[in-house]
Amino acid sequence: MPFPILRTPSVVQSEIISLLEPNEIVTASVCSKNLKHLFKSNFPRGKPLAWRLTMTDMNSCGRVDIETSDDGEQITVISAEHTSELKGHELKYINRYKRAKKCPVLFFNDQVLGTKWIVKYVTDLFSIDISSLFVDRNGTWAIDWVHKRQGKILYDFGWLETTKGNSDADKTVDYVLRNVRASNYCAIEASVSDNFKFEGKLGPMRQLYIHSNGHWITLNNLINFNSIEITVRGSRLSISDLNSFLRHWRAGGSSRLKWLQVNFEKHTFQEKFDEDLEVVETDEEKVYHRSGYGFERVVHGGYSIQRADGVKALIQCDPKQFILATWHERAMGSQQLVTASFCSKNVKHLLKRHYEQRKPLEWRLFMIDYKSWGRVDIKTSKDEEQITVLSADNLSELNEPIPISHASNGYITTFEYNCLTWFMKDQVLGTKMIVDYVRDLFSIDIFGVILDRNRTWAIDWVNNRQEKILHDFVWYKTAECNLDADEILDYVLRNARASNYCCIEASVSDNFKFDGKLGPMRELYIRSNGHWITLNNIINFDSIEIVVRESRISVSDLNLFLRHWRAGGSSRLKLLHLYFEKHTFQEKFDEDLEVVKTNEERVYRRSCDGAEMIVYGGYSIQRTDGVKALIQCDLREFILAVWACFFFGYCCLLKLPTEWEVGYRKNDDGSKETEGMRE
Amino acid sequence: MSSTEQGTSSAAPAEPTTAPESAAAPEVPESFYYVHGKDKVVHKVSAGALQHSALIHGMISNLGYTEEQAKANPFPFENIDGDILQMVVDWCNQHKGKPTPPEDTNLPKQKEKLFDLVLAVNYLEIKELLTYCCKQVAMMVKGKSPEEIREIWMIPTDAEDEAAEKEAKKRAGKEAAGETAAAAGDAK
Repeated sequence: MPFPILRTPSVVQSEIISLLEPNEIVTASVCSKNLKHLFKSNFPRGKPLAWRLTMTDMNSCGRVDIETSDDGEQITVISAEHTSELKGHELKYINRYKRAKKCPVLFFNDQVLGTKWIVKYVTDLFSIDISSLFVDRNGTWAIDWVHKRQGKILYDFGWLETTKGNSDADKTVDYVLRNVRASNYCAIEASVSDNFKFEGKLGPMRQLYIHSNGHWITLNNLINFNSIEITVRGSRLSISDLNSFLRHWRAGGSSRLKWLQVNFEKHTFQEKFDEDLEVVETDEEKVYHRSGYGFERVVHGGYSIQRADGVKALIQCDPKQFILATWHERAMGSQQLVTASFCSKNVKHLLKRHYEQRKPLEWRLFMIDYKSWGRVDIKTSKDEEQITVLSADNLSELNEPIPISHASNGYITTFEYNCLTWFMKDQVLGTKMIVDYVRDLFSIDIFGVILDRNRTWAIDWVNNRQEKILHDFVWYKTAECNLDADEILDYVLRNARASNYCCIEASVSDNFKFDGKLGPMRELYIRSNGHWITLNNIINFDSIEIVVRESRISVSDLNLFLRHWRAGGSSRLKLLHLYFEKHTFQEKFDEDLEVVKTNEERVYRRSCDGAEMIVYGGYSIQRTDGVKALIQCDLREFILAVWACFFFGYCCLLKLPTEWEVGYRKNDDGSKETEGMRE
Repeated sequence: MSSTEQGTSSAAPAEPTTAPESAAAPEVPESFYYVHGKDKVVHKVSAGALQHSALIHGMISNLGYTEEQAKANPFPFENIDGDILQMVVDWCNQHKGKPTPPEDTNLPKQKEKLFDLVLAVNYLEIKELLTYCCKQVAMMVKGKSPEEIREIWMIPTDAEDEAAEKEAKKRAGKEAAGETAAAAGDAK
C-alpha cells in the first residue's frame, strides 16, 4: 500500500528520514528533484553530521561509502562504473539500481568524471566533507581534487597498487607521498623499483602503514616520518640502521612514536645491539593498544631499552621482524608524588623543598567539590589527562570492605584507584585541607574550580587564598536543594572570577534577573536555563565568546544588540551563540542594520578547546569600523561570528594566542584565506 | 500509569531521606475522559492512557473535571476518522503506564491506514507511536530501487512535477487576472 510521504507534515518527514540508512536516502533521492530537495533540507550545512564519507576509486570503479557510527561499518551509498562494464546490455539500463549492492550504480563513458560526479552528489546531499580516500594508481588525480575541494584535511588515506609492472611507478609514488595529507591513517602499497628513494617528510599522523615492498624505507625515512605508529613490510633495513635509529630515539628523537614494526623482506635478521644503547634482556610482557581500531597486541619483549627522559620500550625481534613498543611512563607522576609525601614528614619535606627551589610548575590544579565529594586534580600539561591526586569524603560514605589506614595526618584514609581519600566528619573542612596540602606541596595556585550549588563557600575561600585569578570556573546545579536558587546564583555571578572559562548551570526562577557585570574572560557558557539572560546582560558581559542555552531573547532584542555592536559595542566579542528555549525563532532584521544575505562560509576556531566550527552564514553584517560578522540562524539558534579583519595583523605582530583572531574564509577551490592577510 | 502510581514513583527517588514508605501513599481513583472522532463514536479513555498524547495531556492537565463533566464534554477530533481514533485509543490503553519497548508488536496492522494513522498521531502528538509508524514507513523502502520507491512513496517524476507547477502557475495567473478585472469593474 503506497504512502504519500510528500503529503505528510515536515515533522513526520524528518522523523522518517532520520530512520533511513544513508544508502536508502541516496537511492530515494534520485527519484525526483523534489524528494532530493527534501532530503537536502534535512541535512543543512549548519548542522554537520557525525557521519564519515569515504571516497574510493579503484579497479576502474568509483564508490562512495558512509560510516554512520564509530563501529567502522561502512555502507556503500552510490557507485560509478565505466560503460564498458555494461557488457552489451542495452542503453536503457545505463543507470540502474544494483540489488546486491543496495545502491544505485551509474555508468559513465569517462569513469573519472563519474567518480567526481557521485562524490559531489553525496557531499552536497548530506553537506559533508570527504573523510577518507582510497585509490589505486589510476586514482592519483583524486588527491589534488580532494585537497582543492575542501579545507578539511583527510582523516584516512590509502593508496594501493593493483597492477604489476608499472613503468612510472616510482614517479607516481613520489607524487603521492609528497602530496597526500591525512591526519589519522596513511597506507601505501606500491611496486616501486629497487632504486626508488623518498627524501621528503610524512605526517603528522597516527598510523603509517607500508603494506608491501617497503624496501625503499631508509633509516632517514624512519627518523623523518612523524607518526605514532609505523609499520613497514618488505623492509631491507639492517641491524646497523636499527641501532642508529635506537640511538636517535634514546636521545629524544621521534618522540611521538609509540609503535615501530618492521617486517623484513628476507627472514635473516639477527639482533646485535650496540653496547652504548644499554639494551637489556627481559622477560617482561606488555599489552599494547594499537591506535587504529583499538586492537591489542601482546609484546613479549626479549629486550628492554630506556630513553634519557625515563620513557621505556620493549623490543621484540626474530628473523622475520623487529618491534619497538614504547610506554610513556614517567619516573613519577603527580599522583604518586602526593601519595609518597604521606610516607613520612621527611619525604614530604624533601618534595616540598624540591618544588620550592625549581621554577614554578606549569601544572594545573583543579579544586572540585561536587555532590559532597572533594577532590584535587592535576593536569601536568594542557594536553595531558586530568588526574585525581587526593580526595576528601564524608565519614558516612566510608565503605567497610575497603582497607582502612591511618595516615600520618591522623585521619581515616583509604587508598583506591592510586589515590588517597581522607574521611572526615566535616567534608568541607576535608576539601579545604586537601587543597591546601597539594598547593603547599607543589607551591602552585588553584587553576580552576568545579563546584555544585552547595559549595558556594569555596568562591570566597579561593578568592581570599590567592592573588592569581582563577583560569576556569564551573558551577553546576545538582538535583537537590533548589531553595534559594535565585539568591545563590546572584551571589555566584557577583563573586566568581575567572579569566578564561566560566560555565554556569542553574535552575533559577522565571523572574530571576542579574543586573551586574561579568568578565573580562574568554568564554562564558550558560549551560542550561539561560532564560534569565537579557539584552542588557549580553551587552554588559565582557567575554570573547558567549554561549547561552535555553535563551528567551527575542529578535527585537537581537536587533538592538546588533545596533549596539555595529556602533562599536561589545568590541571583544567574537562569537555569540544562542540556543533558544522554544524552537520558534524567526529572523527579521531591521533595515538600518544593513544585514545582507550571503552564501559565504567561514571556519571559526573556538577559544576554549580549539575545535573548529563552520559558520555557514546566511547573513552578513558589517560594523562601521569595517569589522564583519556572519549571522547564521534557524528556528533553534542564532550565531554571530565576528571576523576581525584588522585585528589579525596586530595579533601576528604582538604574538597573541592564535585563538583570539582566527577566522578564515573557504575559497571556492577549498583553500583558506584570512581576511587580514588578504588585506 | 495511574495518578497514584505516578505520584509515588516520582517522589521516592527525589527525596529518599524525607519521603515516607511508598506503601503509605493513598489510593486515588483513576479519572477518565471522553474523545470522539469524525464518526461521533465516543471512547472512554483513562487519564493515564491519554498521557501518551502531549496534545490531550496539555488540554486535560488543568481541567479538574468530575466524571459527569468529562462525560458531558467529550473532546472532538473531527479531523480524525473513527476507526483511526479507535486504533490510537487501543494503543494508548495497551501502553498505559508501561515503558514503550524499542520494537512494538502491538502496532496497527492495516498498512492501508498507515497514512491516516501517521497524520492523526502527529496531530495528537504521540511521540512513541509516531516513531513506530515512521519506522514502518522507513522499512517499506528497504532494499528497493528508485522506481519501486517512487511507487511506494507516491513520488511524482520531475516531468510530472514540472507539469503540475506549470499548471499551478497558469491557474494562479488566471485567478490574478480575474481579480484584477473584478477590481477594475468595482472601481468603475
